[in-house]
Amino acid sequence: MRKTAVINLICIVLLCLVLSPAQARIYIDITSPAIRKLPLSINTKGPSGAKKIEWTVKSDLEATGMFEFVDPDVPGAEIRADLRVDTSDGLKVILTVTDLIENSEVLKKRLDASSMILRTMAHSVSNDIYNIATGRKGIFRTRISYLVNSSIGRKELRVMDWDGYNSKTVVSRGLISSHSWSGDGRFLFYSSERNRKWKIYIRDLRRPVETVLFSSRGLNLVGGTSPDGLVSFSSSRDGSSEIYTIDIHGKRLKKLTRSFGIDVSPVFSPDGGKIAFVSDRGGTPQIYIMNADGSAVRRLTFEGSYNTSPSWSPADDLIAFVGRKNGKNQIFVVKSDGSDLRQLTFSGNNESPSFSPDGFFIAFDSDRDGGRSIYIMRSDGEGLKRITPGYMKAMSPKWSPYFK
Amino acid sequence: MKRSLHIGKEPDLQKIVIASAILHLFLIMLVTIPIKTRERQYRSYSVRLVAPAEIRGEATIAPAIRKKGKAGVKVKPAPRRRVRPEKGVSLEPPAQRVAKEIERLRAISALAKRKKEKEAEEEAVAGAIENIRKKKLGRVSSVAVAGARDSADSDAYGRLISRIIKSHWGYPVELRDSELEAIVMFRMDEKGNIIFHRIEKSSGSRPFDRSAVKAVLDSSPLPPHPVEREVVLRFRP
Repeated sequence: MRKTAVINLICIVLLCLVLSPAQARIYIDITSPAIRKLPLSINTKGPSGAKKIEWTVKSDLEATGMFEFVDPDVPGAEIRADLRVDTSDGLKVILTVTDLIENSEVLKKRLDASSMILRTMAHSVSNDIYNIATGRKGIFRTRISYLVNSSIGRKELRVMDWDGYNSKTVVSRGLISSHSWSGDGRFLFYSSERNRKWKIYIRDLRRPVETVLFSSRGLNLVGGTSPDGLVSFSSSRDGSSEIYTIDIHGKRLKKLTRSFGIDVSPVFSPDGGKIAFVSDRGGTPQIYIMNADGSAVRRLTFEGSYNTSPSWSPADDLIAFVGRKNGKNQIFVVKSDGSDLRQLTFSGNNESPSFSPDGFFIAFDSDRDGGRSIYIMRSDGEGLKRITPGYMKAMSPKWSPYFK
Repeated sequence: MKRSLHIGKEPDLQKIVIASAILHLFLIMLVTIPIKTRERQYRSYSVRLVAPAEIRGEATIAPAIRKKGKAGVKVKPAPRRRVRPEKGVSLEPPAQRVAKEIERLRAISALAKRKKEKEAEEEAVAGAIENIRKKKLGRVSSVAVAGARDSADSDAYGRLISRIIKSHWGYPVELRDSELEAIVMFRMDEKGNIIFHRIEKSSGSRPFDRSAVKAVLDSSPLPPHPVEREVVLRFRP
């Protein structure tokens, strides 16, 4: 007992010692930082291919508008990325990212690829740097599907990197109209007219296999996909165009709308609970939102007499759409409760907005430079960039999800 | 057996009473000590460095500092600012350090030019620091002085350093989130050099923590204070 009493006393004395030097401190609140970009330096070593990787990485990060590149020989950077490129046996990149404020190495990674092309490797590097610098997941390895007018009466379905490079034709048969990615990025759903019949097809991007998801008389146009594997589409099989959902195996067909007007372009909210679509039930085409079972329909857009092509942001409560203003089609964004309407584009005719999987970018097509091309911009309308060549008639971009 | 053990413990009651008395005393101390330091409330000083009209001015000053930093650094390889405080003890600082000091003073005076009221405030701060210094001469314990300090003097000093640190703080708009909050503690020496810093509470976002630490480190040296050496900053976007 004596011992415990002594131990108690010692403990108390120690505690008092710890507590007593709690000398006066100044407590200050600091808010509202200045708007500043993240200073980053990229230091690349290796053969000629190395520079190409560096350029691609810089172009990726530049597009976010968050970075400022600092020469590696000059201080001022907060983060330094070192790239050691070796092309002697396949393609190897050792990426080291250093936090220059705390002076600590935060990432060391070896990227190894025998078959991967240079740009894909560079996009992986961009993702890693972006993640460390911002704490967010990069979209630099996502892709965009789009349509190209290849000849009269024909439209090809193609897929390209997010920056417009590395384009590949996926389907070249028939007249392809709307298209959409599956939630895991493995399948493409698209509507195509072959032999005067509109069907909805599925294409596996890993194998050259095409299957029919839905077929009926009338016009069948695919809209979007939900996280639990449903596909939304519009069909005029009963006369007027209505909204339906179906599962990925072509089962569980559900009719969601029964109105006199035309209902088209159904897209799911990111959680799959709601569907935004276009309807002319009020006299003009406007965007409406309903629950995924077809209940609780409400009108979203009230400005102007023409609002179409809704795209739901995967990250924020934001819907992008096309609205006609002064006779020209422009891209707008609005919250799902109808508030905070903002116009993002101001020149030419702009169509088919589609959000990147992080909601940070919007891809769309526009004729602002003459021919129809695909552009990307940030979701605040800044950082506009054309990603398809001017001579190519490219349209209807659909941004892929993150690939698993 | 159990019984006998029980009886054997009985006489220790007195000791238990003593122990309980000590514990009570300890509890009382626990309660009273926090009262002394209870004024750990974060003070916000409305500085308005990023008022819309002033953003441009801010932007022009920052690159100027950076450029000068670059020019100065080319002479000497990679001088990390964090290392500097230790060197600051030497009586004859290198010319480069002096140049940096001058440039910092210039930046501060440029800030003052933009806001007329700031000049008056700086005088008030100087007066306040002088006040505290005088008081310190008459006392032995610095803690006692801190306790008896004039809150107005402390406010003026807090306002000054809050403004300096804020002028070094930047964060991309795209990454802002109203829930971010980082608490950074730092300690400075008698010359105002920041000699120690620590993240007391991480915001959960590495970039945000990094921006806060950078603002602190870039602010060194701060105007020295005769008494206060430890500052806790709460950063929120």
